[in-house]
Amino acid sequence: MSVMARLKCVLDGALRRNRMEGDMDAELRFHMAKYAEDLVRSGLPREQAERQARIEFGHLQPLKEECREARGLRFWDETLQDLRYAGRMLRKSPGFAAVAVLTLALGIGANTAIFSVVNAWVLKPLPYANPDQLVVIFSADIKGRWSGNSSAADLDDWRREKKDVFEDICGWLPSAFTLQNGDEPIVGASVNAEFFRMLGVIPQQGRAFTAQEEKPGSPRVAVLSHELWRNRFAGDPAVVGQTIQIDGAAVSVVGIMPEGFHLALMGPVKLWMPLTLTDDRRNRYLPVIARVRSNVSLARATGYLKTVAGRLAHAYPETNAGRSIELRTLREEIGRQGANEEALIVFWLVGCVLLLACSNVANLIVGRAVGRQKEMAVRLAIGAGRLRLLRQMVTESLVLFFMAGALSVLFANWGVRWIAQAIPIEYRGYLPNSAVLRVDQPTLLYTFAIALITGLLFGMAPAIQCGRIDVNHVLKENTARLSAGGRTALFKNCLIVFETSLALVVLVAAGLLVKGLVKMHARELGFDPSGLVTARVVLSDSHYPDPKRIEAFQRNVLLQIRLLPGIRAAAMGNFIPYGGNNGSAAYVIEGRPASPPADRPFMLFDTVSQDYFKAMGIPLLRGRMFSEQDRADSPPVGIVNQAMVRRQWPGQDPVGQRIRWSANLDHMATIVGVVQDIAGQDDNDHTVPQVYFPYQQYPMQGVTIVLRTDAALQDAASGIRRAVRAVDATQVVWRVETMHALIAERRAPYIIMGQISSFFATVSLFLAALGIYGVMTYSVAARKQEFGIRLALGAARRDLVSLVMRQGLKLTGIGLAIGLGAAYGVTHLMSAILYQVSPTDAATFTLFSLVLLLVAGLACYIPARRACSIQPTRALRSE
Amino acid sequence: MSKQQDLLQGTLEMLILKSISLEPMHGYGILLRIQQLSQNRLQIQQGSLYPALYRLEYRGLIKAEWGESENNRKAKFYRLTAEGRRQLKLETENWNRLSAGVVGVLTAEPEKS
Repeated sequence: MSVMARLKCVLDGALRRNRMEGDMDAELRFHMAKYAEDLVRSGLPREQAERQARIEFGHLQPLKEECREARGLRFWDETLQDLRYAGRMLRKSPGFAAVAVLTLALGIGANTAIFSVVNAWVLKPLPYANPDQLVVIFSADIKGRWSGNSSAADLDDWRREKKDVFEDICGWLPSAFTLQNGDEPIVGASVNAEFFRMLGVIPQQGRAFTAQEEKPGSPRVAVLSHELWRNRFAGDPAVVGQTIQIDGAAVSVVGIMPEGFHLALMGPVKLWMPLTLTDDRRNRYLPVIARVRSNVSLARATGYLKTVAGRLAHAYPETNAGRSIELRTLREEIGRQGANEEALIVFWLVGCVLLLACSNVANLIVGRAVGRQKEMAVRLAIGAGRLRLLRQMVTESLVLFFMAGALSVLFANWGVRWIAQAIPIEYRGYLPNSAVLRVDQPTLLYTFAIALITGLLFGMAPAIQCGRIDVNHVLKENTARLSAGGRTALFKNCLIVFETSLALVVLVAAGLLVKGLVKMHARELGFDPSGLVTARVVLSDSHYPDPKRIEAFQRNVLLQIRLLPGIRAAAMGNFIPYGGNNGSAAYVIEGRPASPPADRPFMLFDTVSQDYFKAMGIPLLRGRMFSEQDRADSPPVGIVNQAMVRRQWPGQDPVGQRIRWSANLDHMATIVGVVQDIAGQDDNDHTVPQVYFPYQQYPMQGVTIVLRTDAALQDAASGIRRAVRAVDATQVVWRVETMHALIAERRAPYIIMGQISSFFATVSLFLAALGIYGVMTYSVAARKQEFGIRLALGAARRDLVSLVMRQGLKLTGIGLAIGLGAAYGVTHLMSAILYQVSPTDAATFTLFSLVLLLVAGLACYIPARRACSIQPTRALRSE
Repeated sequence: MSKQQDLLQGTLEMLILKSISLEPMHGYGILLRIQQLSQNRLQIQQGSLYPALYRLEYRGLIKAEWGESENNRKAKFYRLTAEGRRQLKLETENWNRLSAGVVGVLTAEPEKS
């Protein structure tokens, strides 16, 4: 209540000042008049009465001032005064104001932008109901040596046995759909019916899938993303219930998801269709996500599902022996794929950038305050209160910071837009909350508050210092000598050291990240990705129970595809690199003592068509490729990679050796060739032993078509779909992608991180240079007179330049030494996220030390040159 | 001089609150009322009333409105707010307690030792 009264008083006074003054005047006049009337009534002559009233009233001006103060207006008046003065001061030195405001705005803006992204990415809860209960389930080796997708039949069994541990378990399959003939395919996914319910997101219109709809043969239905609905169906609500053409078949739309709904693991999915699970236990291609019941711990859920997996391993030894499961929280998995650690490192490093900006401004403010000691002294001498001076200095800082704050909002917006743009559209879907990538308001406020506190502290420091000013001394001294004084000089020297070391840490950290990225890009893939288009078909067990039929399907599709225009090579594999699936099996070398099952080595395997190596561009190093003669009924053969040779036959020729493989070791193959190592499922795997078999000898339902083609992706896609449809119209082609896109998808987090980190490395280098430049300019200006004397006494300009440079570079050197130590500590924390780069990579450390030294040298050289180019006589006369 | 004013400041405010507790009054009326009630024992400088009035308004204890005075001149009338009424009660109690205490001390018989 009384707060309101106070506010009203101050606001009245502040906003309607004239009226308030008039009121006050009228009130006092009324009082005097009444008093005078009473005096007249008591017998005094009117003239005398009025005089007496005025006298008894006292001096009017101090009284009014007291009244104003009583209404809380004095503070307001003084603030106005300070603001006006601050405005004048800033106008008087526009250079200082511009640099300070820009630096700060850049620091705050960049920090806010990056933190907003990191926040959306890592820190904000996932946009689903109770996201902590969501987990990702992997099929895994019982010893934990690998983990990956699961088979449809396993998933089906898990779903049946979810009991009171899991609320829902859902598999999904990335797919590409074509809406109308000739259209570019859109990213879609097939999901189990409970998928949306499990995430706790309901369609904004219509409904989700029913359990009935995932049964084979039921009418086909689809749920649209908000984006697809808006862009392709003009946001028409009537589309729910309508029939649309998907991949040439009639599908009815049953629902539309709310805006921004997506699952980061799935990518930018725009269309969902029900997933029909087959009884295929051999191919593991389904990512699985589940919701654990709220009262069940992750450990219990893991333990329970492991026993289920154990039962399955026992019941289906051929496919499931040695297999178990692994559970990870969805958050952890998204963080892993979204490079959680990088994001946090970036967060810390960008804090350094803010620190740099703040210290630059601190330097500017302190530097200027020293230059204004004389002004302060004069004002003290003519009676200004020290507290009043302090308040005024603080007001000046505040004005600077509010200007910077306004500008930083603009910068933050640009920054976020820049980062968002730097993230290619196809990656955005892999970021949680990416749909709402915008400046985070609390972050902006928070960052601004930090900058403000710095500003207040450093704005106050000089004013507090002027509390110690010896007025007489200061008034007598000249400005130059004051500013060269010990404490300020120490502060400025420390600042150079601090900024140099901080910038080095940021540069080195960013440098290591970028170097890793460069290395990743330069990675020997072992195959040639250009012009490669891949498509996946997973044959259903019900249609293809018989290996002969699978083989026939593959053979016929290959025949059809070879007829397509622009095809240079066509082949089939199953577990292609960067494809997201792999097959592994235990093996033994024939003729060597067999080790117990648990200790058998694992190999990756793939079943490929004879042109696979040619299509992929994988060179044959020894022996022969597969040929027409390798048929289902011919002796089984295999081709190994170099890693296998290194592991099992170092320095020897493996051709002619025989291996036994699979869980029961009931498959045997003779090695006929050696091919070059190729990249695996992502960039982090190290090349592991791998064996290729001809698909005719081990037909598998999972088929990845690989084309080397000159045709555009969408032509290739429609060609592949036509070819598959011609062979078997019931089979669906999932996801036609270029190999480059598959690789890019896996590399997205690193690429984004590289872009962000190079952005802030540039900013920090700029800020450090600005800081060093500022300090040096100031210290050179302060020594102008000294230089004048030196010049007059015959010093060469060259000597002066080197004198200044020596001073600056000495400090930079100390900064670099400290920075190297700090960077050494920081980069060690990053070792887990660096791609094949040592956290103490000497080249990076050296390179960026040199870069910083160079930039620092330049930042020292320019002011040094300027100071030495003045005329000695003028320098001596100047004050 | 200034010390005496300081001492009076709180007291003056209390007296103002008391005098307008019955009906709204303008500044001059308040001054007269205080002099009348104190039977001219309390002399208040004409102008010194106003800073106190403004301070009370700032604290939300009183409210000011323009109105017509006895002879149809515009004057600013002050009245108590609910909070002002509470404050007056509180201060009156405090004052009574204090003065009773002081009176008690001053009227005590010196103890015989």
